[in-house]
Parts: sequence; C-alpha cells; structure tokens
Amino acid sequence: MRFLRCRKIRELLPWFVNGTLSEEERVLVERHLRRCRRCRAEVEELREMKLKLGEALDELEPSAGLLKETLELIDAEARLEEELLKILRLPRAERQREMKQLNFGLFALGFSLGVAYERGRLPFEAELSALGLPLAKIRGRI
Amino acid sequence: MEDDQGLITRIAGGDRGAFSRFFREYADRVYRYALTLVSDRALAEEVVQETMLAVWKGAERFRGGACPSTWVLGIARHKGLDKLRQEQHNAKLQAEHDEPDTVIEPERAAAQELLKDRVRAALEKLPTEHRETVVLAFYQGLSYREIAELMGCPEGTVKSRMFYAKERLKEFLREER
Repeated sequence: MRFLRCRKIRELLPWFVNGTLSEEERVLVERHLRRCRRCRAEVEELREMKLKLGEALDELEPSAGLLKETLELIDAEARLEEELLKILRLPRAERQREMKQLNFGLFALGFSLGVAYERGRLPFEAELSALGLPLAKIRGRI
Repeated sequence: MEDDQGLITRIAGGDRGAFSRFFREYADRVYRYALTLVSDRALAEEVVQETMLAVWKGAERFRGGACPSTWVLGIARHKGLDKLRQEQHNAKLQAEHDEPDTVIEPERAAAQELLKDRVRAALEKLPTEHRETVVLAFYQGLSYREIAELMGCPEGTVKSRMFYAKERLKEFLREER
C-alpha cells in the first residue's frame, strides 16, 4: 500500500518541482514528503535536473536577425497579396493574360523545385520569389 | 504592463509593434523547444519563423481563455513535427543516393557541437516524446494537463513518459560522470 502511494506521489513530483500542481495536489505531496525520505531525495534530484537543464538550454539562442527576416517575409506576403488583388481587379482579358504568366511562373518554379528535391544531392539555399517579390528562403539539395 | 493576451489581440488587428514584442518574448522559448524536435539550428530557426508567421496570420483565432504559451508551443509542435518528418525523408533520400563521406558530415559536426554539453547530449538520447515532455515541464514550466493538451495524449501518458524520461536522464548523466 505504501509503495503504491509512493509511486502515485512520485508521478506528481516533477510538477511539484515546477510549481504547477493544483492546490489540493500540492498539499497532498507536501504531506507525503514530511514522512517519506525517499521522495524528499527524489525532489532534490529533480530540482538539480531542472536547474542543469535550464543552464544547458539557456545557452541556445536563435540568430539575432530572425525577427527582421520574419517582418520582411510578412511585408513580402502582404505585397504579393496586393499584387494578386490588383490582377483580380483588372478587366477580364488583361487578367487572363496576367494569370497565364503567373501560372507559367509558378509551374516553372514548382517543376525546378520538384527536380531538385527528387535528385536530392548537393545542398543549396535560394530565395523563392514571385512577381519580383521575395517570399521565402528555401534550403534543399540538388 | 500589457499581458500576452492583450498582445495577441493587437496582433490580430495587424499591430507590428505588438508582433515584434511577442516575437522577442517567445522566440527563444520556441527555438529551444524546436531543438527538442529537430536536430539542427537552421531547422529550429525555420520552426520559429513559421510559428511566428502562423501567429501573425492566425491571432484572431486565438481563444481568449486559452494560455498563450500553450497556444504558441502547440503551433511550434506542429511545425516542428512537419520539419522532423521532412528531415527524416531527406535523410532517407540521402542514404539512398549518397556514397559515404559526403555533405552530411558538416551538418552532423554542427549538431555534435550543439550537443556537446552533456545534459544536452543526455537529452538527445531520449525518445523524442520523452525529451519533449521533460523540456515542456522543466524548461517551459507547463503543467501535466497543459502538456497532455499540447501533445494530444492522456494525462497518464504524460506522467509515465516523464517518469521513464527522468529515470533515463539520471542514468545517462551518471554514465557520463
């Protein structure tokens, strides 16, 4: 009985350590810890593990320019949307001509990406653009 | 000081300043979480970027009562798992086409460099879902209920993943002493 109880409590200990248990669960764990030396030792180990993990992960940071790149991408997408809307507002004949050009451009782009992907050898990094607007960076292998 | 829900509301209205603040607040967390799913920094940065773009485009779909960090990490999880599948597919293609000693080496070397710290190396040895659970609990500070919601699994599964993950972590850390 004691073992079962201990095991149930042990399942909660990681969240006792990160402080996210409900009030009721926290009280239950604290009451158990007062009389169980093994679980107290486990809490200490978990606290140490949490600390080490924090130290190890805190060192990892994304590139400083990532926010700027993301904002540029948002702008590029907005510009593309605007261009597409412009095309959609054109008179029918003109719109069809523009759409044909766009379709051909997108087909050519899709085809070359497909070939590059299937051949899968040398790494490349390129910028995807449509209607003269940069849309995204692509990494792959040719 | 404005809370994260307020920021998300402003982002939904197209406020770039609010988006920049939100990005600064969450990019590191999303990046470190992404690194539990994918194996190199460039892919993790792509996860951050795609997650933030999804926040920009989908902020109006955020439910007011939800926790912003669980919402963002949930988006990051989907993006990260997509990248992971893509990465596995590329690795398979690479294995089919390449002779030994080709271009993958510099990437692996970078990944090794990234994981040189023994805690990170120990984390890397865990199965992905166990690693995620440990990082979500100990680094992101999520409750087991929030993790269950995020990972789409029962609370009992989260507890048992955590139980086995911490035992394995202890072993790995002991071995490397």
